[in-house]
Amino acid sequence: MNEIKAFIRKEWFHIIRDRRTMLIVVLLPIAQVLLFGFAISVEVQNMRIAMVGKEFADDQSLFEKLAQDIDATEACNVTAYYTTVEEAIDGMKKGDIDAAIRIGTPAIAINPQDTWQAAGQGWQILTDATNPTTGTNLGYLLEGIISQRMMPQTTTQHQASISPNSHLLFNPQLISAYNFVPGVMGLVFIMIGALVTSVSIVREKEIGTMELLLVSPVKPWIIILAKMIPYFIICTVDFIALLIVSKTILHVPIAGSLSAIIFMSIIYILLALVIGLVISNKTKTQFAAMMISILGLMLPVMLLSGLIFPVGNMPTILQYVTHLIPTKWYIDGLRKLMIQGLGWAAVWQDIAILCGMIGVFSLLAFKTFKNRL
Amino acid sequence: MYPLVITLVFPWATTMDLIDCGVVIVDHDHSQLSSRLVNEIDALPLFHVTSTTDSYELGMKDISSQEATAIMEIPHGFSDSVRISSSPIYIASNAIDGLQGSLAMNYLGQVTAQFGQEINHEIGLNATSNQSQVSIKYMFNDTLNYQHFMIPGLVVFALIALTAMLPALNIVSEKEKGTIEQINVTPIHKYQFILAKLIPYWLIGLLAVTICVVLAGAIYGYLPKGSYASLYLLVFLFILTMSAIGLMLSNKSNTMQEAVFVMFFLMMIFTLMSGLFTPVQSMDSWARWIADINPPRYFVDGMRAIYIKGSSFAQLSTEYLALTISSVLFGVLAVYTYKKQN
Repeated sequence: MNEIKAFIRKEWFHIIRDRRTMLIVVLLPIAQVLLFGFAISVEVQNMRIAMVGKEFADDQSLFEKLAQDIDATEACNVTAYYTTVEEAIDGMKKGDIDAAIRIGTPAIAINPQDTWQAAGQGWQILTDATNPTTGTNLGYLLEGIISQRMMPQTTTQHQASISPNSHLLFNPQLISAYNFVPGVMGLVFIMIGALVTSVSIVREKEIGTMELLLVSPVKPWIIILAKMIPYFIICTVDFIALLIVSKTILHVPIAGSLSAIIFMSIIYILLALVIGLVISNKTKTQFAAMMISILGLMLPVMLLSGLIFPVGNMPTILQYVTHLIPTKWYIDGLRKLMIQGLGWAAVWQDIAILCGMIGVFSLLAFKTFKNRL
Repeated sequence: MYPLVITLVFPWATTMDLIDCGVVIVDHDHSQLSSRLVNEIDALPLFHVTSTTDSYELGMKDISSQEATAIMEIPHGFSDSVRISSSPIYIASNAIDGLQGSLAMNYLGQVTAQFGQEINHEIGLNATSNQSQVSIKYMFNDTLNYQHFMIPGLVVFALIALTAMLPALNIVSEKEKGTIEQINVTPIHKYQFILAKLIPYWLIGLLAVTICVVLAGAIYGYLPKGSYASLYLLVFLFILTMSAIGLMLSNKSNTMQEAVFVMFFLMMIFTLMSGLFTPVQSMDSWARWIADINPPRYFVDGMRAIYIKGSSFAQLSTEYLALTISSVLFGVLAVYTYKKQN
């Protein structure tokens, strides 16, 4: 027992001494969750709309009113008036505007093959569909605004026989932080956990001090355990800080069982540390360990865990791949617990899978661990 | 290897569209009409009905277990009231992922409203068919292909890793091992040393982009609409910026551990604040300000504009200007912070 204590003290000094790294490890996650909790959002916002062909409109006041309607919405602003559609397309290519609304008049018909122009009537919305999601959403939004302005008299007499009464559950204000905070937490823990442990072990290998430790009478597993415990403590501190920050500053609810959140996070942090251990066993230089942790973990975790892109949208084969990403299960469970407000019963599967992964990686770490260098 | 994964695997993973969304039906009506509505929804490619129950609580279980995204409640007496007057249908969707939730809700609303009009027609109510005089045209990406949107952007990952992270770690590892001292005592000028360190990484970066371009062309048949010259100029300016940032980082850090943490933090900012995954315009105003000084943002924008819109050099002058300024700025800073003596 004393051996472990002494070793933990040694590791602790290593960490404390390196002030900058220490600072980064503790503050970085908080900065990230704050930054991305506020910044990452996929709502259609701040769209720049151009109105085309005012000069040719029969009813200029209608044109003006429409521009005002669009300006009045939260998502869109009218930022430019163009005479021809060519100018609008040029504006899109420059990235100055996101959509253009034009009124069809023969005077601005530039391309005679354009069937829409040949009809010479109605409104056309041109949206920049470079990003298809934004493009279509913006299109629908503008279509709604125009139809409302154009046919106020017809909408009143029109009687739909089914009136959908729609609600958004759990996150009625569509706050993106609800979706992203659990995700960013999942990313940060696995990166810090795996990166820090793997680098600190490989570092001793590279400098050559690992040999000294291995020839000492201390058992190798004690050395490893002593390496992991301080980092486990740091990650736990990070976790508590993140929970407080997201609750108080980002106002992400913690609606479900707090004990389950804590338990699952501890399991997840342990898993990250064990993964770091496997990486350190497999690599000889810090450089290689970092490359594997950053490139091999960061990109798959970011893209295949459901952090940004919903897993359900991926092709079936990729969905199977996502099952192998621990972060996917953690994020899934955390969203259920924090936002949907469910309890232990809802996340037992996620927790069981994370525990299973700890088992597999521990076995792997045990198998690959070498007493000699 | 890395460009291969970027072009082959990740474009499939990155889609925001609503695909195959599960719907639970809570049917209190049990009529021919309600089951017709259910069948109609199930037949749509976007939706599949996960289960039909007659209690809302049972339906919510499917939502909690995330088997279904949306729940639709058909009230008792629906088929009768629908013929006389307007009948409500309750639709709710899981909005933890706000975009998916609201898309599902809006689509379902449209489907039911359309169904209502169908019935209107059938029973001969005077349904005013005001086909709207508004048409929408999707420019540049008219097939609404999300992969076409992601492929030109994803290469940014490879470039940050290859031209900022690798040289930074390489130089710091020489520092840590002490071999950099041996170079410092040689008469080599510091510019020569820096250039000799960086040029191989520039070439690797250009090679990675070329592999991505060729693969995208060969596998997806996806070629840039704009010119290759403007594409490579953009890539080269971005590589210069990134390697200067990497060099600056290596000058400032003494251990690899330190360098790699800062790099990790920068990489998160570079990618998440660049508009690669989530639109810059959707960010808060202060976050947009950060995005505005984030060099990868201009690279991602420019790559997409060249690939999808076929923008010309002149049309992208903002992007080129921003990257030129950043490469010069960071280049000067990098040389300035580099010291031959420790």
